[in-house]
Parts: sequence; C-alpha cells; structure tokens
Amino acid sequence: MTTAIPDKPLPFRTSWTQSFWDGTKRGEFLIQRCSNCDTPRFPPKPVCSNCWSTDCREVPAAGTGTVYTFTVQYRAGVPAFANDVPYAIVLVELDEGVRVMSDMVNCDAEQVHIGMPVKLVWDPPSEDLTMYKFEPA
Amino acid sequence: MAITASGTPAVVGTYVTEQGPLEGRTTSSIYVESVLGALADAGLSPGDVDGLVGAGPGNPALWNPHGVYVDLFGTPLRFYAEAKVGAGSPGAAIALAASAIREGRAEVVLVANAAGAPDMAHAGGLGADRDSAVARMSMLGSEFEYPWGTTRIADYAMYAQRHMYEYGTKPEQLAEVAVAARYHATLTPEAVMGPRGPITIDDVLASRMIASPLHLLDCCLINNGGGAYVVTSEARARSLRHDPVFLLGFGENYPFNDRHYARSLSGFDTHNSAGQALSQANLTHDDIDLAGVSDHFTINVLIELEDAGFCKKGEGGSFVEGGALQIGGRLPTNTDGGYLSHSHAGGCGVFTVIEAVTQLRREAGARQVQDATFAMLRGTGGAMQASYTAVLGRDIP
Ligand SMILES: [Zn+2]
Repeated sequence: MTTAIPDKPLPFRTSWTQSFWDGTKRGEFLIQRCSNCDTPRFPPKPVCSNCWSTDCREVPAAGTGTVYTFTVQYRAGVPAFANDVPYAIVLVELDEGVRVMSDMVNCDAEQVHIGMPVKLVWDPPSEDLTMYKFEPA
Repeated sequence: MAITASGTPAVVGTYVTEQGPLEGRTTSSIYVESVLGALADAGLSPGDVDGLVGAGPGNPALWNPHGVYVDLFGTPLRFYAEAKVGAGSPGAAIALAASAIREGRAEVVLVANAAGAPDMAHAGGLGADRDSAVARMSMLGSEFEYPWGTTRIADYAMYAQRHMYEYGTKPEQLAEVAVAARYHATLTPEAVMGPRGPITIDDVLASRMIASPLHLLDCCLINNGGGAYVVTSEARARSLRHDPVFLLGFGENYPFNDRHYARSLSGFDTHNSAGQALSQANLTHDDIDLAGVSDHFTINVLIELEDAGFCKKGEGGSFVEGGALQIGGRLPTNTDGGYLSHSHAGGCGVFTVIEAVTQLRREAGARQVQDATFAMLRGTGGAMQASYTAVLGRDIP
C-alpha cells in the first residue's frame, strides 16, 4: 500500500521578502546590508537592528558558511517530510555573518556537525519559486 | 493611578482534573470542572469572580475570548487580560491577575486552562492526538523556518546541540531531568506517566531518537486535562480557608521570535527576570526551596536553571547530576512530574503554579518538599521566545 505524500509547505511571501525570492530565481542569495552602519541581516526586514536605519542595500552572499547548529530529524513533523527521514536541519552561519536555516543534502545526515563547512545549492520546486539547501563544501 | 488595594495578592484556590486521553470529555466540561473546583477550594463561587486572565475554553480566536467564560457562568467581568507566553501563559497570568487586584480593577481573578475534545463553535487547541498536534506545531515557525521540515522538537534539539557544543553538556545530563520528572509522577495521583513507574538514565538514552539529541523520553506528553487557580487581594486571602500563597516577584523576557535573529541559542534571559523577581521578593537563590520549570523538552530545564542563576551559564548539566532535581535533592524541580510525566494539556503552565501552591501550602502528601516556603517558577512558551519568572511564597519576607 502506498500513501500519497502531500506537497511540502512553501514559504509565504511578503512585501519585505519578495525581492529576496526574485533573487533566488536568478541564482542570487540576497542579504541586506544597512546603508548607515553596514550591519548585514537576514531574513529581509525593513529596519536595521543595530542602528534602526530603514535604508539598506541588497547584496548577494557568497553562499558559503559553517553549521552553527543542527538536528537530525528521525520523525517528520508534517507528512510531507515522511519520506525524507532521517534528514538534517541546519542553521548555517554564512561567511557574511548572517544565519540561514535549511536542510542538508548530498550527504549522510548523521555526518552533519557544528562547524562543518557548507555551501548553498538551489532547489526549485516550481517555475515560480527557487528554494535553497546546503551541501558539504 | 492610585493603588487601591494594599498588600500582596495571593493564590487562594487551585484544582486539577484527571489527566490523560480523557476520551469523550469535551474541553468545556473540563474547563467548567476546573473553574468550579478551584473556586470551591478557595471557598468562593463564580459569583465572586470579577476578573479573568486567559481565554475561555476552545481558544477562541475572535475578538472576545472572554465571552465564552462570561456566557458559561452568566457572570459579567470587569477585568480581562491575556499573557502571551505560549504554554506558559497561564503561569505568567498570575502577574496580570495580581496587577489588576493591586490597581483595584478586580478583586477575585480566575486563571483556568482545559484541553479536551472540541465542542464549541470556535474550538481550537491542539487536543490529545499526537500526530495532529505535532503537525500543527511544526507550522509555528517563520516562513524561513517551516519550509525545511522543522518541528517544535527540532527547535529545541538545535538548542540542545548548541548547548552541548558550547558547554560539553551530555545526553546523560539531559536524561536526569526526565528521570526526576518521572519519579515525581509516581508520587502524583493524576500524573499521566505515574502508573508506568520510574525510569533510569539508560531508559531515556535507549528510547528512540526523535530529533538528535532528543530521545522520545526527552519529550513532553501530549494529553488532555485541565486546571485552574484563583488569585485575590491579601486582605481577602487571609480571610479564606487555605494558607495564602503570595506572588512575591515577577519578570519576563522576550528575546527573539525567528531563530535567524537570535543572539544566542543556548540562553534566552535578556533581562535577568529571575534577578528582578528575587529582588522584588527580598530573597536570594539560597532561599528557594523548589522550582517549577517548563519542561517541554529536557533541554529547557538546563537552560532555564542557568538563565535563572541557579548555576553559571553552561553548568546546568553538572547542576542536575546525581538526582539534584528530585525531592530531597539540591533543587526539587517539577515535583508533580512536569510536562514530561505529569501533564502537557494545553496551557500546561497552569499546573506549574498549582503544584507550587500545593507544595507551599504543605499539602503535597507523599511528594511534599520539607518546609517548602519559597518557590521559583520559570515558564516558557513556543521555542523559548518568551519566558517568565515568578517567585511565590507562603510568607512575605
Ligand atoms: Zn544599521
């Protein structure tokens, strides 16, 4: 017997984040840098946490970083991930200094560890949306 | 605004229903039993209640979460508020109740929580079905978190991994928390896991891995049940039938929401709420006889005890070793069995307050902490994006 696996939940998009998702479609992972104090931030938001300036520019990140923390999931929270277990969820510190959460691919989930060097890979679930994951660097 | 009620507000009535799957019991029936039980314990009736903190049964999402209560009991209110500390909200509610009483905006304030089968038009809540509860909680992250298959367990597991990396914390130390909770559950009549008997550190480590490093027995229950407590002014409290249990100090922390923005994932106390609460109470850590700490997962307790200042940051693992959290140990914690082994029914923070009151009244029977006089409560919600500290006492220092 097979059970249909539902589609994975997609990120809802806001006016703050639309240009980020436009960037991933072009193969760019955009982070924001404050125009006043240069502090980087991600996910996108309309104000700097360091100086509260609302002016910022978007710059592409290099896409490399290290695992800040992680967990290997042996039980899926929602049925859409039932076929993926065990999978590693990672919170990665990009070289630019922001943290990015995603899943690890192209490696054994149980080999993932804090400090592991990783890089971004693209994962387009549809023509309209390009998601991102991490793989070992 | 003039302070119109002098003195220190106190908890004067508590009640806990049976806990478990409670097949066939609706949320409202459990809620009504909890409310009437707590008021009867205080020697009061619904006609005495003029304030409510927290929504009525069914977690109504509409503008009038107070309306369900008012219509159930037919008793209009003059004060309503809600704490927003996730499952810890009915614990944090005690400070809103006390503020209303001190300001003369209410005299008898009720805090109640119930989880059961949905039975009302706007019924929500997680219920006792583990799969649906886990799935709903998996979608609570931000749009940059949930698409990656996060779960509430994963959220805490990532904190635990970071804590282990930064401080050398061991899975055996996390397991100590679960072992203490289960032992306490065996001494608590309504505790869901009490009948299963005690467990060992090896039992926790041998239970299946859910989200590394958290095993099944590192995770809280999902069950139904209810509880309630009643708060009133010091003057009225002293005229009622039980020893009053006073709210002596209180503080909150709201460190972040989306983990991308968190400054730390191994400590969350941005405003030293425990220091604030102890200072208000004229007490120090050494005065505290027992603790009630949110234990959705074992890692919570280590982080919370550190954040509360019972040990240095990073030393929570060694602090809990050797049964330190068990009755008779250094800091008896979650003496009813906590969310891990007593009950995790809806807004389970209500049980944290009720157990502290039971202990401070010295009515805890087989699990009584000797000479219990002061308790510290640390409640968290969500994935620790909100927390509170409350200091309760049977005396006013
Ligand atoms: Zn700035």
